[in-house]
Amino acid sequence: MAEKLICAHCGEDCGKDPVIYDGKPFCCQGCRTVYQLLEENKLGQYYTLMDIPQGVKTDENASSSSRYAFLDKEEIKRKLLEFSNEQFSRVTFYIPAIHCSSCIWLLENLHRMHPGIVTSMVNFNKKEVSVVFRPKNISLRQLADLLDSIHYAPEITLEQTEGQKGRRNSRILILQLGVAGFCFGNTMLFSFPEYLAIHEPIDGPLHQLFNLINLFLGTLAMLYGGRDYFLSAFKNLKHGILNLDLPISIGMLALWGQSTWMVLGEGRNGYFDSLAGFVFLLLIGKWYQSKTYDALSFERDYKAYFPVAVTRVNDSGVEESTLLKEIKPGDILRIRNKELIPADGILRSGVGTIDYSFVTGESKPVAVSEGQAVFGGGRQIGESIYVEVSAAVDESKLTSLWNQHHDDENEKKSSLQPLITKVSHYFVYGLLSVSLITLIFWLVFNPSLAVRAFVSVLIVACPCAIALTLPFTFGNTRRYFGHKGFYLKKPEVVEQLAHADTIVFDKTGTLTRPDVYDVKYFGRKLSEEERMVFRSLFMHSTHPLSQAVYKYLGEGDATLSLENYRELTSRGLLAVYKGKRVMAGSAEFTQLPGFERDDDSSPRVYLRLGDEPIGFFEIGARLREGIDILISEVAQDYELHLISGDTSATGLPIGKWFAPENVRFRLSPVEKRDYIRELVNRGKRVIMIGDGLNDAGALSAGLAGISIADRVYYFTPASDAILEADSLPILPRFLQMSRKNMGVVRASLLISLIYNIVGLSFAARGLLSPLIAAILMPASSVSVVAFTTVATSLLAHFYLKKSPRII
Amino acid sequence: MSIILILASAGFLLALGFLVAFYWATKSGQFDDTYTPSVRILHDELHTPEPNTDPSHVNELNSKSNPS
Repeated sequence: MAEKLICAHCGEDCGKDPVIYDGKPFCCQGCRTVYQLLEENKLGQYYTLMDIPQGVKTDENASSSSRYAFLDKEEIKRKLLEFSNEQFSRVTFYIPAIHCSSCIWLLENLHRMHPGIVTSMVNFNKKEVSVVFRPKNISLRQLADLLDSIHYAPEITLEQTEGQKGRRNSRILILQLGVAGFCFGNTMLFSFPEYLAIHEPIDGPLHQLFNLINLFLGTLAMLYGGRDYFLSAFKNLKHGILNLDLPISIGMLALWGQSTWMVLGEGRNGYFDSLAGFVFLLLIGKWYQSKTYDALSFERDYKAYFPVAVTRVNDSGVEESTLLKEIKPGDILRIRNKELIPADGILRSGVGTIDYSFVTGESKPVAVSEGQAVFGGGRQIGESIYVEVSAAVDESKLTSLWNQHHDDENEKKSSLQPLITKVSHYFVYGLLSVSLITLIFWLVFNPSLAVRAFVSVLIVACPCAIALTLPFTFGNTRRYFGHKGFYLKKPEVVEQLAHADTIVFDKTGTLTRPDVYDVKYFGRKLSEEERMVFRSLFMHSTHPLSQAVYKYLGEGDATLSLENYRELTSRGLLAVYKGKRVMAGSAEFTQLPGFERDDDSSPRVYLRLGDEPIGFFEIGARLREGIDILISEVAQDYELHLISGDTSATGLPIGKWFAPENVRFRLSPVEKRDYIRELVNRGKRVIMIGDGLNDAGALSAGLAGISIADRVYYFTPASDAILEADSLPILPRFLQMSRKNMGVVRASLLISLIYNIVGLSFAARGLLSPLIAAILMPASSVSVVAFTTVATSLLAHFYLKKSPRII
Repeated sequence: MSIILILASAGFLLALGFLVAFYWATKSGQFDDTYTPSVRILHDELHTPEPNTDPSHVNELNSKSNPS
């Protein structure tokens, strides 16, 4: 075999027919064009920034010249443009292909490719590029086409055109963090005399000035930095819920009140340094927790899957690009090869071969003839079809399933009470009783100490350490998971994963690969000429089975010219070679009695040359790598189920992996969801692992839903976590580590409990000195943060480092 | 002792100045993306002449398009 040629643009294998340009090999014309374009604009440096060329390859499925035609519409422009006047416009595109520093470099040099572009700026984490351009020189559509032509296709979804999400929330948290940190540092500075017990030179007015500054800073930290805790505690209290924010708020108020009294009433230093430090630490925990994967979306529904605009044929027969939401019943739409049918309708002309796999999970395309119904969400494979719309997009049968999702959210929350909720419950009651007992005790025995002891208890018992435990334990774990290709929506998902006892797998696209097939040949040996004949026959068909066989036969490079080539939808292919009929397709079509079909439902493609039956190909799904190890590892700890929209799963050792009563086929998306719900009702804690829209209901019904994706930045259904398909084999490690995490949380809670008991024993006796308060409170928080961080890092080292990531 | 008073107030005012600077930096979006600039700075400038940039307009535009 010849040495592999690597494409100079995208780094992929060039295969049999490399395109040679400028002395360099390219895998396809597309890559060559991009190379040429970059060279002409003196942007060849793109290729030297990385050691291995790692350009991006465009999604072949999506390219079409009028793909961005809808960007010429005023309404869309108005929604997408962030700023626009006569001279300049600014737009931000989401580009999933951004993946390396070369991408940043190229996209920030866009102005060299077109004089109409003024500047462009990349946000790598969000995979966005902001472009300032002159609308007179380059239109929005031309800009999108330009990006597409260099293989950085912007992804514009319906959601985006329905209003931008606010991105300024994180700024407020950063501001709060900064202000609290500022107050913390400066109160410590002005408390220095107190720390060092220097009284002699600075007592008197200067000391009081320092105290007043501290009063100001502490108040600022509490009111600005701690604002959200008060609001949350108040809101929850109104609904009768006691959460951890309540003791935090009480603690802050008590500390503030006590310190204010000390400064104003007694002329002494208060505990404002502790107060500001406390707010600062809490906010750090919150910030750590709020770090999200900006470029990933965990909330996508069918809208993200649908295009923004489709091609409509108007009354005078002219095709025009129309917004999806303007589609009315009665409109005629043209659906090209691999385009999505956006709404329910009736096929008016053309031959429909529609792949509903993403919506229903059924992997075999469905043949539809003129006059029959087609459903929104299907993808046409083959020639263009014309569809008359019969229902608006929102009312289509398949998509309406996903509009019910939001009801599920509340149900799910109640199914498992997080550990922290239980702990804070006990904590709040414990704290209230201890403080009241203290108050009553001292009122009886020594009233002069009563208020002080009461306030001291409230101060010391402040659950800072408890509040920091979860953000740091789960936040840190989530970070390690992210390194290995497992992205959690929220840190709390770790806890959900830890409690699960049942795993439900989807079959198509989850256990098996969606795009690769195992082709097996049965029959007499093909001669070299025959192989080429059939290869040429399959070459022109876009049907997935034909493509699979074509690849299987694809060793030779020559093709023969066949006469009278015809493709009969869902039946087979037909041509004439040297006066003989060449046929390939279903058993009925090729009329081959010699190969009777048994009940086996793996699709087969039969071959016939003239009158002679040759044999058949059996095309089975291919398992993802490492599935057998995965299943055998999780089988020890979890009850396993398999649900699929497919009719059966021949060729997979299902019986070995799953108990027969736990396997279900032919499930519609709704039945999948109900299956999970039934498991939940039986008391199972279910993790659902799926990949497509057809699993979206099931993903949200269980304790946790994990969606598998080969390309995480492209479409994934709404779920709690996204797992890169390559990391699927190490899923058991993730689950084990989640369970160990609960141990870390418990240990950390124990540590803070010990601190609390020590502190309370001083406070309840009325002996809390400023020194003890100043040591105990930061010490408990810092030790909890240190313990959880170190413990989770060790766990990650133990569970994740040793498993090399398969790329 | 008045020297401490002067020093302390000068220090405090300086710190307040930094707080204001921090507020401005946050509001102008400097913390929105903390990764890309670290890559951007490593890229060499291209030495071919720039075809069309008019910096004055761009600055004006950026300030206009950044409300708040």
